[in-house]
Amino acid sequence: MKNRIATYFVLLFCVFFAGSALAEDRKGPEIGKKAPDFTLVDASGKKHTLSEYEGKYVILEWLNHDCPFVVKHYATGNMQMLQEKYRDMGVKWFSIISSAPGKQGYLEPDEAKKVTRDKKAKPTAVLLDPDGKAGRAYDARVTPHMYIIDPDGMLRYMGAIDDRPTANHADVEGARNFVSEALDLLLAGQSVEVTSHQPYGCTVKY
Amino acid sequence: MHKLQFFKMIAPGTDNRTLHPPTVTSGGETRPGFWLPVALAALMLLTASMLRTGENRVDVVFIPGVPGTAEALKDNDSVFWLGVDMQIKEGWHIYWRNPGDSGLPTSIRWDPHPSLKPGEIQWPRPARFDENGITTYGYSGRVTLLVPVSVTRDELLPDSGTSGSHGEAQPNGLHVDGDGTETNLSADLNWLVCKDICLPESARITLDVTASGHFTGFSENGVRQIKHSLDMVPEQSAEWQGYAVLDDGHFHITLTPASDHAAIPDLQHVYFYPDRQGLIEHTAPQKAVRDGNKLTIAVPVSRYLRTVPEELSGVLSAGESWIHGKDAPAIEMVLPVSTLSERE
Repeated sequence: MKNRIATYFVLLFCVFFAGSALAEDRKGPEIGKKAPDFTLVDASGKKHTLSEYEGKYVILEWLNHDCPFVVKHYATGNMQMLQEKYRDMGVKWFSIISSAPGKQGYLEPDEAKKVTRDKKAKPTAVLLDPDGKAGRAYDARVTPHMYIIDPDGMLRYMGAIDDRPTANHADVEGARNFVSEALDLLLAGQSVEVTSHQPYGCTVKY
Repeated sequence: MHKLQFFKMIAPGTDNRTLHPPTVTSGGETRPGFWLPVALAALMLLTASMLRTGENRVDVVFIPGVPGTAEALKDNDSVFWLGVDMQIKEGWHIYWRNPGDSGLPTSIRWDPHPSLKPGEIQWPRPARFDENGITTYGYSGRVTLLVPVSVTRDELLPDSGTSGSHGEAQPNGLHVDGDGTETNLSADLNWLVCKDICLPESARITLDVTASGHFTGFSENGVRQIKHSLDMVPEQSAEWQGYAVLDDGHFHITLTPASDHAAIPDLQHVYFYPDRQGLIEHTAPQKAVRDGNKLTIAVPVSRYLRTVPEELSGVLSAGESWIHGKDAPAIEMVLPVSTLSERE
């Protein structure tokens, strides 16, 4: 009898853990809900806390300059164009590097500064997330993985930058860019049509 | 895209006939008994050209379709299978038609050819790669993608050099271009190869189509490899039927036998590979349960799914065969999808 009760408890325990493991898989931010807050240091050593940017639209871009899918958007000037365009409209743009030290895409602060300059990138800041905490909180899986956060801190878009999941530079032109589409609608006071789209790119090198 | 559907697509009778000299077109409509040897003869003239670039992590060559694979032609006599043989460096992998959480499927851009019309890639069953908390679908080691190539029959002309200006088409003296010159079939291949990092690679490969030379361009190994790869391409199964119900963040797939030949495999390794991204959480475990003859598989829905799809199509895989007396550890399934409220 005692044995049976013990077995029940063990089973219950297993069910509990199986359940929480599943829940774990589905963790991550949700559209229309509060975006996870974070504090990260940028390439110049300055601290940025997401919640301090309430009142502004914020774009998060997961970044790895050695990833061919990222290269597609920087070599063609597409990413820089978007950064410049929306920053001019008052949007904050953070490029976040979640590569662990020693992994592809990881940059020391000075290197990050230099690469940003060399690529003529125009983000508000390049944020360094070497322990991957912010990346995991957003369930950022690939580079580039894009997120739009509204002035109330709510997540309005997450996923792919556009509808051409390739590394081919020629595919930038004519692609349907979900980020600019969503942001243009939001800035015009309208609701977003595509609020999420399966992201594409290289895996984030946590 | 399934093999049978492809055959419908390239059904004969749709060719443009305006460019052909009377000696050939006078044959009139379909004569399968005649065209089979003609098509096979054309195959004998095909030889693989190997173009290996030393720096790639993947070596690609064409394995030409050859007479030995006649049985692979199934019920269409003017199609042959062309193998795209990819040798992948150890530790690296390339992708299936749905790459999963990241990656890219191999793509082929064919140069136009006057008489050879390549169809869509037939993909051998994929493997699953779990890395860094994400899951992708693809191949490591070696994979031979298969491309059905139809021979546009009316443009197969007698070789004027061997059979005279008005001679009949002769199996050993054919080439597939009208002006007496050879026309190779070339393609640009692009693929993404990944380990801990990903690299886009490409190659241009060519199938030599010559006006002379018999039986010299193929190898028994090539024939074997094409056959082996054909066995790895999952087929639509008549033995199983099913549907999916979307409820509580899961596609609940229900499968029931449609014939006595349906075999219930070990449920531990059952996994559904969807045809496209954005439908399921590729990383999440899929729980299969058996109730009598009925199987249910709970597949977590992708957080990126916005509208309920009409159907879920893909490959159902297991460690064992789904069909008695056949080696079929993976089958193609198209499952109509409904929501729970629709079913009530």
